[in-house]
Amino acid sequence: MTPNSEPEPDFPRRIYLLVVLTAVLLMAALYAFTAAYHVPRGGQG
Amino acid sequence: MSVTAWIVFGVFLAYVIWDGVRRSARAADLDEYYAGGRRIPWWAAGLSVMATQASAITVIGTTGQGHDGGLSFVQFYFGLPFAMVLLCLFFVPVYRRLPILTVYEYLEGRFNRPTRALASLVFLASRCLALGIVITAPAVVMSAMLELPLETTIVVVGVLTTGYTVFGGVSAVVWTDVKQMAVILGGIVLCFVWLAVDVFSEIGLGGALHAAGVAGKLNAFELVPPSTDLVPRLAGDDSGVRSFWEHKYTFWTGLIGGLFLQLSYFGCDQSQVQRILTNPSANDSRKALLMSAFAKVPMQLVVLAIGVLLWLSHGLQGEPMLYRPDDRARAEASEDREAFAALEQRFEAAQTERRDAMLAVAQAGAEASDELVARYQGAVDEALAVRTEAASTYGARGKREDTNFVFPHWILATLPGPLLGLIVAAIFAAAMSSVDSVLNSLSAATVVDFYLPYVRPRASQREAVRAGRVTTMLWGVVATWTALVMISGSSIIEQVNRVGSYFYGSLLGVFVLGLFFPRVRGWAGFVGLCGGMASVLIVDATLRVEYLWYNVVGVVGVLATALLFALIGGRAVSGSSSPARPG
Repeated sequence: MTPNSEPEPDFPRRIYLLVVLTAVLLMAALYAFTAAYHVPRGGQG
Repeated sequence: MSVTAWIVFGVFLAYVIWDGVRRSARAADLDEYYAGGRRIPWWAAGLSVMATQASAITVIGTTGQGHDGGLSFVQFYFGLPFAMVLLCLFFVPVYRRLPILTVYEYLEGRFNRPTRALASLVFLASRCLALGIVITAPAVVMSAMLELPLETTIVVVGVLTTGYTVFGGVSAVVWTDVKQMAVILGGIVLCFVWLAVDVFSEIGLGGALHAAGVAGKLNAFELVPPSTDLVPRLAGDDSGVRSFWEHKYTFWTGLIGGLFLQLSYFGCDQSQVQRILTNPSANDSRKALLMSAFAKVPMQLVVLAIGVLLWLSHGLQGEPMLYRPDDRARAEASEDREAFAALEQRFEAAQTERRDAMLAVAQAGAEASDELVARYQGAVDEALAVRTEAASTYGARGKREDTNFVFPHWILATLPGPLLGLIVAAIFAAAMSSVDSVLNSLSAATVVDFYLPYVRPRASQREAVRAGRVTTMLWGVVATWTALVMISGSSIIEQVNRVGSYFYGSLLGVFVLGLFFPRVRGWAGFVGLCGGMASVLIVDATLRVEYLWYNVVGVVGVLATALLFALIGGRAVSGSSSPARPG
């Protein structure tokens, strides 16, 4: 019942930055992709 | 299904159950049974987190959603990576500093025992009913695929999953989830490649992109919502245009509403938090969560892309007007069959026109004339209109239900025996991997949050594990029974489940209160939680707002109520105590 009593090294902050950057880049890519190919109107079939 | 497909499917099922049950010997105390002895590696917990979220209806329903609605649903997950980072920064360190087995134990130390009990009760009630849907929804489709009675399919999923979860505890859950996730991922990749080769060999990648784009299927990012009117309409008000708050899949709902939903799901729902309590250290828990942060959005994108590719494939090769086999049989046997035949003729004509126009658009690419685009879009709309009319006239449960049969229809009609067996196993795996995690977490909340503190505070470890196994079995029975009741489409249970899902934001709110408002203590947590749930119910009853925003309303409601209560003197009422544990 003692999960982690020993101190552990700090989690590298750059991994968080990498996650955020990846997410932002992915969304930017999806934005560009949608702008390039999606034709906005009500047609769904 | 062919004999080969049944063999592949059967071997997979037998292996998963054997793998789960053989872990029963290790589960000798509560820490082993509910936290795997804190020895589970981060990658296994990470895959289990993903497998729990990927229910069978995700595989079946999301492909159908991609088929009919395009890529827009991917925006629902935009908040997830940011939620995971926030959880790693603020929630994980607190949870892993404490020797807790349920996330609600934290609330007892931080506020008081009633706050913990209420939060745990909210979790138990909402999750149990949601579990019924997690079993029923895919069982409807699987029973049609396997040509088994619906009741049999539900009982098979319920009994098999409960069986290995009872014996092996969370270790069985995690390690079976790992295998199940591998099969799910393998199945997704296989279907994507198969369909891509099928479609691209006929119209090429560029042609496919133009044909799907002009049809409105590549709407993966909607920055400007259809409405920017920020004043919500009142409940029951059908006049005027829909407000900003009523649009489900836009960039803003996904990023903000989705962020709150994912924070609550991964940070305050025992069925997910339990997985990150099984790792040796806080950093391992962080890695497990960040696996989803990297993988979830691309995975959803691929699943939706399968739906879009399937739509293109159907556009080129034709599709049935009704996907659900029994709906079609009922329509053909009905007195109305002449009208049904006429509708089918109309659908055939629309399909022919859609195919010709699709080939022309694919060939012309960006050079397609306005006239051609309009002709193609008209044909797409006509085919959809006829399908919708057929589903609402002859379908047992309308268009939404028929959409869930799009993907199963394709795999049954296309894939050879062994691959079909693998994909059916993947769908079953997705159902079982969600059910097992929830069963184990329901049992954990029952035993750790109620049985030990209120019924048997001096229970030995052996007694506590036995209680864990009994409650897992009882929850399995309740979940299977709920699923069986839901076959009748009982609106009462669906309504209760809908209301239950509204409490997510309030759960997040009480944890935010605990983590970021250290001076607010005692009964303020309990009162805040009640205030948050009341806020969501009031908004639900009075305004027209998409449910993702309820998560934000819940958090704001909890904070406002608790801070107000603390301000008028509630802060002085402290009720913290030490959690009860078996000796």
